[in-house]
Amino acid sequence: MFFKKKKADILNSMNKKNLDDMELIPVKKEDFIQRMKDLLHHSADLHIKELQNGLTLVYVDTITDNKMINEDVLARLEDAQPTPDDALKRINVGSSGKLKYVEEIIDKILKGSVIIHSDGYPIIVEAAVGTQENRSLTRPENESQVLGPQLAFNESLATNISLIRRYLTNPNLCNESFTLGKQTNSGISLLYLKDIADEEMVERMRKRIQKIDVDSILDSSTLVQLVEDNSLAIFPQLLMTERPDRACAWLLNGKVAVLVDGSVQVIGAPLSFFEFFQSMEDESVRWQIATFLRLLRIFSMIVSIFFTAIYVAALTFHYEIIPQTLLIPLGESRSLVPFPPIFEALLLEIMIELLREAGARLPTKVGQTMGIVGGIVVGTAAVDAGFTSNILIIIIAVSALASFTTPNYMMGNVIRILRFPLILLAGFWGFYGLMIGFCFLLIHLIKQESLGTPFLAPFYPPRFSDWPDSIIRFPLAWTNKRPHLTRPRDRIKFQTRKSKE
Amino acid sequence: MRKTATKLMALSLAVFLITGCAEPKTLERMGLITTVGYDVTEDGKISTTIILLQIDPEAPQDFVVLTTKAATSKGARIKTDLKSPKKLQSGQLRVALFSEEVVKLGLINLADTLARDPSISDLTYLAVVEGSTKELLHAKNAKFSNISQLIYKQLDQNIKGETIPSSTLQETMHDYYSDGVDPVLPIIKGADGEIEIIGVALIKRDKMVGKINAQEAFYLKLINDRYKAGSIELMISPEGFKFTSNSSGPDDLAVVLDTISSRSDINLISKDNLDFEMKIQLKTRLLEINQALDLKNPKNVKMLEKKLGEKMKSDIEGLIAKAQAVESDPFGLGEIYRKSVRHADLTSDKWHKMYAESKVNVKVEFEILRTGVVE
Repeated sequence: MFFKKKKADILNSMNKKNLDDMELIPVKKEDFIQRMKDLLHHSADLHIKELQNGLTLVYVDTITDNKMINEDVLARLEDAQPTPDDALKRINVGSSGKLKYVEEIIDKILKGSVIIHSDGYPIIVEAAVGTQENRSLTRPENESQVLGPQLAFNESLATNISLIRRYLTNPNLCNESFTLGKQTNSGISLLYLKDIADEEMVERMRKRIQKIDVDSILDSSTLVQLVEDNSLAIFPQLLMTERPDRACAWLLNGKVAVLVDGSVQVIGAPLSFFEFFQSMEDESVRWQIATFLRLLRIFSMIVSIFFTAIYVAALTFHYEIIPQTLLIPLGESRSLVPFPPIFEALLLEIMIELLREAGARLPTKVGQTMGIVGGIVVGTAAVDAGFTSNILIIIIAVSALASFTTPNYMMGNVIRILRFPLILLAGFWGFYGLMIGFCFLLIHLIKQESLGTPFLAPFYPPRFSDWPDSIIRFPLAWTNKRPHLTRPRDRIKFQTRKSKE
Repeated sequence: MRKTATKLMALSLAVFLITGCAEPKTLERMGLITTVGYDVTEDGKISTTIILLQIDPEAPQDFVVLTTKAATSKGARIKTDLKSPKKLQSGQLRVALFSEEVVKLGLINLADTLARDPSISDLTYLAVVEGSTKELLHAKNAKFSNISQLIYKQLDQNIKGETIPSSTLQETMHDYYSDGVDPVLPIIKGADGEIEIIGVALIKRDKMVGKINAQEAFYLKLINDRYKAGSIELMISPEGFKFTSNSSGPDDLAVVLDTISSRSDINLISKDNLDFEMKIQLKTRLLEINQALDLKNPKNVKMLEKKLGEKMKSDIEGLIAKAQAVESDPFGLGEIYRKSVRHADLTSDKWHKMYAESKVNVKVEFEILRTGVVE
């Protein structure tokens, strides 16, 4: 509780900060140069260029474009009058302006502008000549798919917004900008479609972003943890994507998107639990196949969480439920194992986790060795040595495979981890323990919210009109309404009859 | 807030540490009983024979047979535990066998014990053994490796294949506790390393009073089961048929029929005279006939239908008379009576007396739909 109070205090103090508190620009040239050097701590890449006619240029050469400075600024200012007005008139840069305060110009210098001081004037001319260090657009690595656009966001906020604007050529696409992080001053953008997104949702997200008081935001995955509803929950409540088409689909459904400068992932909100098991490709393939794939993913999530635990419970407490034809092979491979089923299962699960964690951090060339070590040495030898039973190897392999079908990496991690408490419960209390674990998970999920909306929608609370596009997908003509989840201002996407014609 | 957190921690610790674990029944440490057989010894005790699954890759055979004598079946289990390296558990029980003597004395004590054990499946098959179950289960069998699996699969196959009436633990207990119907159990017999289902035991309340053969068991199934009965071989006299070749074949005309669909409908006509009407509709296809009869001729098929219908009618009447003679009601006529008469106040004793005097008019509507398709 006391955290919130502290936050509010800081917010108030920030608001109180008056424009009049800011420092005015020194009029004299020498004072100005000295002030700049002091403020930027005599940085090695700080360039101060004094021209003959009384103008002074200040910029950081590591983040500015040398060619632009030479051609569009320096060359044009050579024979200019030493006044801000004349300097502004002559320079040939699209984004330029006048500034009055020292804090502002420091900010501009650090963002890659050149500033021009005229001796005797308290006004500065600023021109943006920054370079955009940025890799070219690539294919999505984490959300790759066969059909659909093969384009991913990159680390530049401007490029990412331009990608979204390319998809949504729409004046209603609103872009609100924030700066977060006392040390990093990262740029944050909040995007939404004005005539679709619910104003309350946008306001909620806006407030949450404004309330944040941290020293740095390096990636949107950090921001997610700061804006989500319940940071103690094990399930992520906001989804991130690297696909511009997915971000646009969210905006079109009335969701808000949050972009962070320097991050390839875009945050979407609000989201329901079942959207973690959807992929953009579901929209590209035919509805029967999409339905099958979505059901398969839900099924594999259940398999992945419960399969090993059921094995442990059945072998430890409930031998009655094992089919008789399976009893003898199961019993025979178990009779060589010296541990109880719970240890056997935990041992093998941890082995798989070791393999997976080792593989995730290794370069690809070494990674091939991992496959051999994992598959042959651990798999086959463990059974031969009487360490684990054959059938458990199959079960663990299937549940590991099933956990990879989740299209979202964050959710995949959660599914991996959830197995362990359930195996423990199954090993100590059998199916009763499993039932308690399942109920706990369900209650936990029901309690969660995503930007103030129910996390298990459209199943809890039941919103039948949203069911056609949930864990199943009906033909497009049936899914012509935006989901209730986002409380969209305009619920109808298109008229069914017209679209059929 | 910190206080509640501490309390919660203490509570969860208590839940985890004080309660302890459930009693584990790890698979490989359990002796899994798959078949149990009950005999009566000369001194009136119960001799229990059990078959255990042997889970050991190096064992010569994958089952173990143990026999113990005790006053009760659970008492026998306790004694058998002393002979077994693994704790005996009956959760995988598939078949319970009773020798004829046991069923003649009364089945219910043993069946009730089985029914009250929650680990025993309600779908366990019950069967009567002609002779001693001990001998049957101990018999060395050269043809099949595992006798318990053999008995289970044989019963399962024939019950699912609609040859004999079903006799699971649940159905038997249901029929026992219903006043107007008696349970039936298949009879099996072991001979020369083979196991054969030779018929069905007629039971009055829980005591065996007679037996019917496999063909009569088919009729019983035809009457009781509403939708489908299996295949049957019928013998009728060849009089009146015109055969295409005058070969001197067997004396009787044998016809094998396969039921496509059947319906039986029993109604109480008069509650004072205890008159029942039993309508049986049967649609069949002809699988085989042992003499050369031209089946393309509709007249022949009509005649065949008529004769087979008459044969069935007399067979069913014979079966009912046989059951009435021993006061066993496997058809559930008592349930029909109770359903049709208000305030019948039927008790088992009352009904068994009434049942012997009731009359049943059998009507058979018999039809051969196809003669061409042969399975």
